[in-house]
Amino acid sequence: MNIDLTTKIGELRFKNPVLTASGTFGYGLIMEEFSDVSLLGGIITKSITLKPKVGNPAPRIVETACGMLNSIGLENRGIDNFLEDILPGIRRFKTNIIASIAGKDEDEYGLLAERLDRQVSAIEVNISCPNVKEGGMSFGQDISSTKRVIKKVRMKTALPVIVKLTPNVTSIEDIAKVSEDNGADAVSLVNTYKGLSIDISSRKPELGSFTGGLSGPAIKPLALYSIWKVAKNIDIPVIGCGGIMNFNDAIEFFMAGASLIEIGSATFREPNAALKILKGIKHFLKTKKIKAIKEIVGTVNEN
Amino acid sequence: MTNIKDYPAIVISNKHIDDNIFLIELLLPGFDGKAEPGQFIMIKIDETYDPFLRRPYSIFECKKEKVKILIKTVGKGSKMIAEKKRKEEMDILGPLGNGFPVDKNNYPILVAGGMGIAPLWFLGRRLTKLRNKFSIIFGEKTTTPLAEEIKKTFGAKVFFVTDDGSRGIKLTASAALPLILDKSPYRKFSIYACGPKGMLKDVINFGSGRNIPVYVSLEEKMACGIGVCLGCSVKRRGTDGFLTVCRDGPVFKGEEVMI
Ligand SMILES: Cc1cc2nc3c(=O)[nH]c(=O)nc-3n(C[C@H](O)[C@H](O)[C@H](O)COP(=O)(O)OP(=O)(O)OC[C@H]3O[C@@H](n4cnc5c(N)ncnc54)[C@H](O)[C@@H]3O)c2cc1C
Ligand SMILES: Cc1cc2nc3c(=O)[nH]c(=O)nc-3n(C[C@H](O)[C@H](O)[C@H](O)COP(=O)(O)O)c2cc1C
Ligand code: FES
Repeated sequence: MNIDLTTKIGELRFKNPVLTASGTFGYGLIMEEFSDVSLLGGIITKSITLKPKVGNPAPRIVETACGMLNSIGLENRGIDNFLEDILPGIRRFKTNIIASIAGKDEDEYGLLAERLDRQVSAIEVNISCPNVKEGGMSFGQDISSTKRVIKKVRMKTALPVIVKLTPNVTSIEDIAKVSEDNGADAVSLVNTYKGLSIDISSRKPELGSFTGGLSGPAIKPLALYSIWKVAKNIDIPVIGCGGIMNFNDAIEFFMAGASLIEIGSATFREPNAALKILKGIKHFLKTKKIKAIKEIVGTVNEN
Repeated sequence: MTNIKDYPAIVISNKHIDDNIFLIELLLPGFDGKAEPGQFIMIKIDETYDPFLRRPYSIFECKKEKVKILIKTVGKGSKMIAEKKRKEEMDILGPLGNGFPVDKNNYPILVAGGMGIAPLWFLGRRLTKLRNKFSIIFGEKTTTPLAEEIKKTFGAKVFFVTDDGSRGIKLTASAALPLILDKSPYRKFSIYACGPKGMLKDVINFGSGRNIPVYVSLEEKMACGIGVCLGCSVKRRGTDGFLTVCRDGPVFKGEEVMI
């Protein structure tokens, strides 16, 4: 049986719905040593900023029950380095390359989108990073700034625009709706949940920058619920992310309404996680005699 | 091509060295045994998600498919690893990172503080195999059975120091360096160090004062172990940038990093 795993965002075709989440897969170059990157539906780069960014002081990670807090702080070498030194080396991957961007203000987002126009397959607009002082999550927590950022990006590029949402809000479905109304081609969610961990003997936070973002299996039920709420509220595709560790988790996300998924922290436990999950999805569809992945999207039985 | 792989490893033996120190021998099916002293592995403890992350351990010895690690129990993950019995399984990702470079013309001095011996033991074994002469300074707060193991294997090459004088001289490992150097018939040295941060700082300062190359093996909390999460960064000296301990290290030239 031939199973149709393809899906689309705007006019952009994906050969399968499994992507790798920003900040957990580098730019694909290191991962190439462990797995065939070209078999993925797409890779999303570490978030790129206009100027190089050094990131936050150590420790930047702390393990928590069934998950981890991180406070990397968007360390990256900036857009010039990405376009000149990284992109030429990853163009050969036979998969969609999605550049994640993060700006300090809407003009920076606009400039980044302009520089990336026609260079990559799509842009993921990160308005949800909990680990930076300027910009980051504060954009994604406010309806009017979400609107301004998306409008600006939309003006500067014809590429498909994916808006990455933060779950640290009261109604994520409202932010998703605003994204759709202002020209987003898809939304991805969730970025990490803001969290804290304290060392009781020193009374100090366990992370160098006090708080961090929670990811991993610990957030899966929360993420799944957000996806379900958002998918009911908008018509553009939803990309689901948050604690997906195996094919079973992945299928839950599709049933909750995700058209595509992103694999994040799972890669830290297993460099090959995304490809293993892809294989598991195929196997599941085959045994259930389902011909296309689209047939299960948003099919959770609500009665 | 790298030989980094995720091996379904099997515990061959687990030897209790001291209260909280264990020597575990693992079988990595298909591993070609090519690893450099200073390289490490990432251990996936089990299939549950708690603990969630792998744990990094230096390669202590390695011969073809057999890899040994020396582990001190300090928390949940290390305790679970230490409880593994013969025939139990753990996934092992490795060998990872860069090892200690050996300057052929220099006399090597290995400086180990406590568990810092793990990667330096492998270096000592490698140097012995290459018929290189070298010295080891091994420092502890108070002497443990680990010192006994080191003495058995490296004999007269080891200079023992303790904070309380319970074995060897009552001195810190870094303070013992000039004693060894000034008595040595050799002229050119390389220093290889692993241990607590304070010790590493002192060793780096000593090396730069005397113009001796120092290589340090660093530890930082890790998530991926391969360079994609940027969780294990250390400050690069002279710039405002960072290096990753897992991929750019864990062995660095002393003047390269701020610790
Ligand atoms: C490259 C590298 C090589 C290492 N080699 C060895 C080795 O050969 N033998 C050995 O016994 N240990 C080694 N370590 C340290 C070892 O990885 C940690 O002790 C272990 O991960 C702690 O896990 P846990 O769950 O027991 O402790 P946790 O419950 O996670 O933490 C307990 C304590 O250990 C500290 N800790 C946690 N993770 C690390 C870490 N990665 N590095 C340093 N301290 C940590 C915490 O700050 C805390 O104080 C190495 C670490 C690195 C980065
Ligand atoms: C170490 C680390 C770094 C991350 N960096 C970024 C980033 O640069 N940009 C971004 O949009 N999300 C980043 N994220 C968030 C992930 O892309 C993802 O949304 C989140 O981890 C939830 O998915 P997971 O539970 O599968 O990991 C990062 C997450 C981790 C753990
Ligand atoms: S542990 Fe992920 S980059 Fe080093």
